Amino acid sequence: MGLWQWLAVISQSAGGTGQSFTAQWQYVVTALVAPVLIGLVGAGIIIIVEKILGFRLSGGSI
Amino acid sequence: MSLTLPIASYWQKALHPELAKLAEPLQGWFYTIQTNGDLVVSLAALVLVGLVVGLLTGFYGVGGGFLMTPWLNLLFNVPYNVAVGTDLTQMVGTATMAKVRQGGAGYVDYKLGLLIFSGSIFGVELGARLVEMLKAGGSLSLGSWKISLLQLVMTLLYGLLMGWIASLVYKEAKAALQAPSMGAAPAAMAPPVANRLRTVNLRPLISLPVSGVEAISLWVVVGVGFMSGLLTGLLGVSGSFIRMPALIYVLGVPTVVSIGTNLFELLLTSLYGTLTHSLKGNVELALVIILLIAGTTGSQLGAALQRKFTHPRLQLAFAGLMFLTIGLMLLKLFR
Repeated sequence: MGLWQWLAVISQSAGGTGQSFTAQWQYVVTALVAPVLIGLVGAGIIIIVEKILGFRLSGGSI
Repeated sequence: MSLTLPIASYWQKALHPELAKLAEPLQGWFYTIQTNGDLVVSLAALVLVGLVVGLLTGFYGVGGGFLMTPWLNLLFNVPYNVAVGTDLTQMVGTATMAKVRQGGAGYVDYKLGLLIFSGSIFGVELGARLVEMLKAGGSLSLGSWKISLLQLVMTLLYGLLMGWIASLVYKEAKAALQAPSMGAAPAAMAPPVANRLRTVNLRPLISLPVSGVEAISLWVVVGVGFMSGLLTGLLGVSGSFIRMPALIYVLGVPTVVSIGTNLFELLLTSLYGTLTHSLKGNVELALVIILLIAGTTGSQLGAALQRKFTHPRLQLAFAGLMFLTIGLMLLKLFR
């Protein structure tokens, strides 16, 4: 199962037809963890690129 | 290559049941609504839009939420509740990255950050619940014109926010074009409301030794958090444009401490916002991953370009882009 398919599976409402949206726990945990992991990896890549280039890159806009 | 968005499809069908019974697929800017109501978007267009928004935020040094959320709705027909939840979740990634990059260089007043967060948490929750109320609000009909309450209110709120930011950028660019030889810009003045808030003596008063603040009303600190949190929960924006001036002008926190404290507080607020919006089913996980990676790449490119090209006319172009977006949002509303 590919990443997009897995994300689609955990994004389905756990409630039955006609009921309001009920989030699966995997969906909530992924929403909290995935951006943190991407942020950590992104910061690591930027730090490595900075060391190679020899100057400081942007801190990013928030 | 295309991508089906399960969460956006769910809410599209819930908000517009007529879209689940189409005779033939409906084509939009960069999306297709299938006959069963599923929303399929172009992956290449998503990456491109992520790069462009990142480039603009890096180039102009602004947060991307106020652009990304309406663009997701305008270009990909992502319902506003999903656009808000997705953008807020993406903010967890950008805040984490900024915090790691700041590292030991950041001065953080943790007591102040946690006190602001205690207000933010209520603001974010209220904002997210307002989105829920709008979702449940159904549609408004005026003759043959039918529009969902969520689409109407969010278009108006984003239109106002973007119009305000665009007018500030426009005024600043015009002033720079008219008086380029005036030298350095004058020091920023505290807005009158900041001076009034600073004199509020409602007890309990607290001291913030790290920030060098001897006494400030707890309610002012919590109120700042509540207001910025409300914008985060309702619109998916960081709220830094409220928090930063408030920290500096109202609370009198040194700029270097304000930057670190704002980032610390934003990380907590965006994590809470992600939790509450994901529980309500407003986060499209695939979009978060794609837009976060594309946006970060674009932001670095934008910042690099900004070091080479800087001219007030480019600020005018940015203001023009925001006014164009407002026009297109209104057109979508009346279509």
